[in-house]
Amino acid sequence: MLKLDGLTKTYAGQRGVNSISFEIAPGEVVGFVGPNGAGKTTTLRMIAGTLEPDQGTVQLMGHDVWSNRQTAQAVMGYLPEHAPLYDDMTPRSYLDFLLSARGVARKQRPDLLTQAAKRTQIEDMLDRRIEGLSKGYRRRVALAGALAHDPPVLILDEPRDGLDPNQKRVTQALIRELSPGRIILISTHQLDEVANLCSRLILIAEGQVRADQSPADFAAQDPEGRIEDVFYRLTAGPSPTASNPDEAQT
Amino acid sequence: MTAFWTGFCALYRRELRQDAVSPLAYMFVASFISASVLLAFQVGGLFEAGRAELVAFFQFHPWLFVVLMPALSMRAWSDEARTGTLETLLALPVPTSALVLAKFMAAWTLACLMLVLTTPLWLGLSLLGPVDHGATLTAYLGSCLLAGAYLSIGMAASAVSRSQVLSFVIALGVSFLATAAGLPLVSSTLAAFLPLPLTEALASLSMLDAFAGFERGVIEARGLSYFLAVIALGLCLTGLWVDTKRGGQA
Repeated sequence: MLKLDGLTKTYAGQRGVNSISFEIAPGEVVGFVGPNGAGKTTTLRMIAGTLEPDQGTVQLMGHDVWSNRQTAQAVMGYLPEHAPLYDDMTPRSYLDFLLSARGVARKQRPDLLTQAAKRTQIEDMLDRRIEGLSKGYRRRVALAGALAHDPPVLILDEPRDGLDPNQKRVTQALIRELSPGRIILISTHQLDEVANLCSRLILIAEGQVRADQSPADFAAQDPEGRIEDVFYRLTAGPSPTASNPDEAQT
Repeated sequence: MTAFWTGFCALYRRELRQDAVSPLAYMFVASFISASVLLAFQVGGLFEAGRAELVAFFQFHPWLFVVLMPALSMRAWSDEARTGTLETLLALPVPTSALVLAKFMAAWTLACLMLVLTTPLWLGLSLLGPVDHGATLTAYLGSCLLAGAYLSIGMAASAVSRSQVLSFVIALGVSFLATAAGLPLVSSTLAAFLPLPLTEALASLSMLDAFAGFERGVIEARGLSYFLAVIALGLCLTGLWVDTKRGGQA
């Protein structure tokens, strides 16, 4: 179980994330959506233990992320925003580095590495320098890094950003394959991804949860079932419109 | 192994591998060897002294390290912050202290290796006359500690800023002050403004003062504890600044 309770983060006097609370059970794939600057990445960083909240708690599989950080981080795979990588390494050495830092035994590492490479389809690039990889491959190497140790919890910040349509399809299939028994939280701007992949959608805007329901129920708020229009209505302005966002602003 | 040691070993190996494939590391080593030997012969008059000793070689180390150690350490944390890989490191189930120590030890290993590569000078001199090997070894030990002290200052400066240049300038400034405080010219200038006990106290905090005993071939408890204290202080500050990034303040 992933449980956020009253999570709050303030930047320069402004509340970036304002008392966010929700729970995610194993087997759920949750799409975490919201406009730019809504607080998605800040929330994910607080869950991943890389940013300390001002208030509130994050419990991961019974471990408090901030009082028992290392135990919580050991069961988590995290893909940070922009998928940062070490350019001087190869995907093989990068994945091996992450696995060894996580304390995975030397004998187990090659199997886990091969499995992660196969799942993310980077086998043919394993021994090339990361510096020379395309954006799509870089994103997949970073994703491989998040799931290489086979964690029960995956926190993914924009996992399909920069991928071509074929790669997006592969990644979507991979997340679906990984979902049974796992907690998967995906931050994304792609509402179609949420509708197709996620069992639940959490929408935040201005640091607060505005919706927490299934994508189907979310879309049903619009007479024509347009998920984008509901998103717009809940995030962009007070006067809603069914089909034309531009009209709502005038 | 504990999370500390697995994390330490993984990052230490990664940093060493990075140095092994980096042209900058080779340039750095070549610069030190050529500059130190050139200064010893041209300025220090190594042969003119008529004695088989390496004082002329070691006396320039503090000034060379003032420039070279900030250059060696400036990337350590600022580059991680700039490229976003710091997020990956902080998401690992590894204590911050292990990350800080691993980066420092890797840089210190390179600095010590650089000193080892100057030992042919020692061997060559021993062919020309009777060398006090104990004193020379002590001077090498002192030089290693001196390099460690400057590196720890550089590491702390690197954790302060995302800019390598700014990190270098801060480390250079602090290192210069910590060295120049022991010069008679600086002491006499300060004595004009400050009480004599304070001037003497400042001079006694100089790297030059702590290194002087080692340079003569004497292991002084004061010098040894001074270098270890500077290293510990630098690493503590680095850890504090890296942890500050978890708080989202830097």
